[in-house]
Parts: sequence; structure tokens; C-alpha cells
Amino acid sequence: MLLSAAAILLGPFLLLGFLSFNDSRALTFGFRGFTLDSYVSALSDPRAIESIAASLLVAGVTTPICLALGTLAAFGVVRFDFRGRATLGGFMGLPLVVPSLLVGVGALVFFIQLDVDLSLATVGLMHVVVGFPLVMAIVAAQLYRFDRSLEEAALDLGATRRELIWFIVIPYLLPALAAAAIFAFGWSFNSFTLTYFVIGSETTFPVWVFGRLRRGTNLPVVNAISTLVTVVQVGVVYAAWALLRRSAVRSGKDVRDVMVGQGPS
Amino acid sequence: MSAAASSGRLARRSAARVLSAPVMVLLVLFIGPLIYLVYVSFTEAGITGDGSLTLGNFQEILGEPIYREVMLDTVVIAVAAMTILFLVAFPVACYLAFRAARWEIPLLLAIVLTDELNPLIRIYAWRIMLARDGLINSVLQGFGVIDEPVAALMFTRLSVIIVLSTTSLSFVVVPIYAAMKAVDRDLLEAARDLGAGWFMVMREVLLPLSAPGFIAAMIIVFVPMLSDFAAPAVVGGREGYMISSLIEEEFNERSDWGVGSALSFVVLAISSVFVFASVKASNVRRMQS
Repeated sequence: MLLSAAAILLGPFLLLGFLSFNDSRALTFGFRGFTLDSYVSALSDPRAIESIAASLLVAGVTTPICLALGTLAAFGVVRFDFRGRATLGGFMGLPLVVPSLLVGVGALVFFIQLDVDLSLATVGLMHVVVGFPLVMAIVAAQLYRFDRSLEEAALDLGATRRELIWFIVIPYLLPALAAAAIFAFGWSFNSFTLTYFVIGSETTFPVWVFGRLRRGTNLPVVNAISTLVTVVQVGVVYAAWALLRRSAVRSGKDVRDVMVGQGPS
Repeated sequence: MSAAASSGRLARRSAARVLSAPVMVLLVLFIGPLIYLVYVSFTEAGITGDGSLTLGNFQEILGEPIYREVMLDTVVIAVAAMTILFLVAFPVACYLAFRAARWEIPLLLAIVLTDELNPLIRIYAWRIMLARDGLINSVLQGFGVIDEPVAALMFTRLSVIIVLSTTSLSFVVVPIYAAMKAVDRDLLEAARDLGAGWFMVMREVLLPLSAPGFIAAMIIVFVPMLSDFAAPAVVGGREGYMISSLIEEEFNERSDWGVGSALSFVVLAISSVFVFASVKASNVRRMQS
């Protein structure tokens, strides 16, 4: 049972890794000898490299914006008591439940109607729309658990509001902000459907893979690049988890609760 | 003026300062486009259209068999994929919650990790496995199980179902696992002491108590499956068409914005109904327990 689950989850990625080192142009599963040929041609394929650079650029620019907007939104929803607060929180979570397909098609029609040229800039704008509610959800969950007496203590000891935010609240939120940054960056890098509709003639990495797929089944260059991207992603997620575990152990929480998002409050 | 009222007003003013930027972004780039999309679905839009109001787009998608068939197929594919996903996820969640012991955290991590990997790469890998000259056919032929490659594995509804059902496993496993973890072990033991077999324990105790996890999982995965675009586009071919494939065609190839928007409106309506119903259902459950 466990093995079959593992095979379904990881099998596809392992298969690509195997094919990327196999010395064969045709799609064969027997091992014909080890080669790095597909990696050499992948790294000298300008369109592939450009698409990865474009994805990194979009994710790199949108992530800080998502962090800022998402943290503001989380503060507004958690910290201020006003009528319609729950509704507003739900409203800002909408981009996470409305299908990417609709967000993308809506944005496409909207941009064309306003004569906005489709480019990486429009992609970035739309990534902010979906990315910051993601940040909001993660940061708000952490803010709810914040012990307000810490703030009162700091104020009693003469801290200004600014000091309060920089020395008490932000450090407390740091693990959540780091996790949110990784999720927002990863979401942007992986986004295909939304991106596809608002990108125009440029390509991000998923859009490049999609374009190549129209041309055949076994694509050595795609195998090699995909394997590289997967290895990096596994590394990043593993590092994030190690960080999470460290901070969980330090604050005496069970790492399972942190992963499932149900920390003891 | 009472103190409470003035502090309420203060809170509202500070909240407005903090929330105005995020809310503005959503109004302009999210709500605006969606409302415009709904408006377009009721107009004669696109190259031939003059922008006048009409119900023609909806008459077209409900009247022509091809649209009706694809909409029905879409629901069938999404339901089938979700069923398979739950059948795979349920034992995995049970194992994680009750049996995994020291493998619990590494497995949980592996499951969460695979959903963070690039979905396009995953679909591409599945295509290599399912293709006519792909891994599954080669292995079956190699062992002499079949003489001719099985063509039904690729560019069919089946291939779309297979690929869809292997995405977003973590979004199903994690809520079910969390709900099962929260079930009081003493209740399970009490049921067993009273003579219930494992099936009885599961049906009468474990499943009802972990139902909120199942509902949460359904809310999370059904709508994305129904509206998935990448899987039918890459492994669907002519037969495995979903509503997303139609929408993309109307916008990118035919430039028939009216019909494209009307189809999008249908997806939006189904999604909203589904999400509201599921939220209602989970509220009712919470009140009962």
C-alpha cells in the first residue's frame, strides 16, 4: 500500500530523472548507457533558460509585494474589531477558491478591453492577486495565536508603536513570513493556467514546457531541465521544513501540528 | 459619545488604513474582471458581435449537443478523479494517523512535498508513462500480457482521470489525517472492547467522527478538478475534452468572447453552488457534534 502510494507520488519524477541520463533519442526504458548530453543541450537552449529566468523574475518581484499586502490584510482582519470583519476576511480569501481558469480568462478579457498589452507584467499583477491571499491566510493563522500580553508588557516598558512592531510582532511572525514567502514564490513559479491566459508572447517555465509538449512525447531537453527544477524544488522544500522543525522544537510545539496547521493555541 | 463607540470608530479608521491597499487590488484586478466576464456572457461580443445585450450565448451552449456533452463529461471526469483520489488518500491517511509511527513525519513531508513540485512536469511524466510507446505499454508488452499497445491509456477520458486523480493528494490526505488524529483513541478502543470488528469501528466511529476532514478535502479539491486546464490540454486529446478546453478555444482560437464567457459563467455558478453547499454542510455537522 505504502509502496504504491510512493510510486504514484514520486514515480513520475524519478522516471524523468532516469530518462534524462539515458543515452537514447527514442523513448526506450532500457538503459543504454549514462550520458549528460541532454543536460548539455538543455543548458545551451536559450528559450529554456529564458523561460526559467522569466519565472524566477516574476516570482522574485511578486513575492515581496505579496508579503507586504498579505501581512497588511492579515493585520486588518485579525487585529481590528469592526462590523463585517469576517465577511471581508472571506472576501480576501476568494482568489484562493475561484478557479485559476476564471481568474485568468477574466483578466485576459479585462486587459484586452483596457488595451493593456499582455506581458510578464500582467502575469506579475495577477500573481499578486492570488499570492497575497495565500500569505494572508498563513500570517493570520499565526497572528491569531499571538499573546497580546507581550505587547502590553512592551508598551508598559516604554516601547513606541514602531518598536513594538519591529522588535516584538515581526520577530514573532518571522517563521510564518518565511513559510508564506516560500509558498508565494513556489506558487508563482509553478503557476500555469492563470499565467497561460495573461502572458501574451513571452514564456515562463511552465508555459515553455507546455509549448514543447505539443511537439512530441519524449523530449530529452525537457527531461533534463525538469529534473534540475525538481531537484532544486525538493531542496528548497526540505530546507523550509528543516527551518520549520527547528522553530517548532524551540517553541516546544509538535512539528506535526505545525505542518497540519493546527498548532495548540 | 460613549467610549465604546469612539473606540469602534477608531478601529474602523485604522482597519481602513491597513486594508485599503489589499482590498483595492482585489476590486480592480479580481472582482472587476469577473464582473466584466459575467457582463460579456450576456452580450453579443467578439469579432462579429456589436455589444448588445442577449441571452444567445447561453442558448447556444445549452442548445448545441457538443457543449452539453463536454459539460457532462467534465462533471463525470471530475467526480471519477475525485473518487479515485479519495480511495487512494483514505488508506494513506489511516496509515499516517494510526500505523506510521516513526515514518509519520517523513511521509507527511513527502506527500506535502510532491504537491509543491511543478504540476506541468508531473503531467508530462504521466504522458511518458501512458503513451502508446510509453512505460506502461512497454512493460505489459515485455511481459507478454498484451500483444498490441493499449491505446485507451492516452488522449482519452481515462488518461485525464488518471492524471487528475494523482494531483493534489496532499490536499485530501492532510485534512482527513488531521481529523482522524483528533478522534479520541479511547472511543475506538471502547468500540473494539464492545465487540465491534474493524469494519464496524470504521463505519460507526471513525468515519462519522472524521467526516469534517472529508468535507474539507472535498471543498478544497473538487472545484480545481472541475476547472482543470492543464491535464485535458496535455493528455486529453480529442476525446478527453473538458469545459476548460472549450473555454480556451473560444477565447484563443475562435475569439467568440460571448460563448467563452457564458461557459466561464457556468463554471463560476457550479463552483459557487458547490462551495456554499459544502460550507453549509460542514456548519450543520459542527452544530450537531
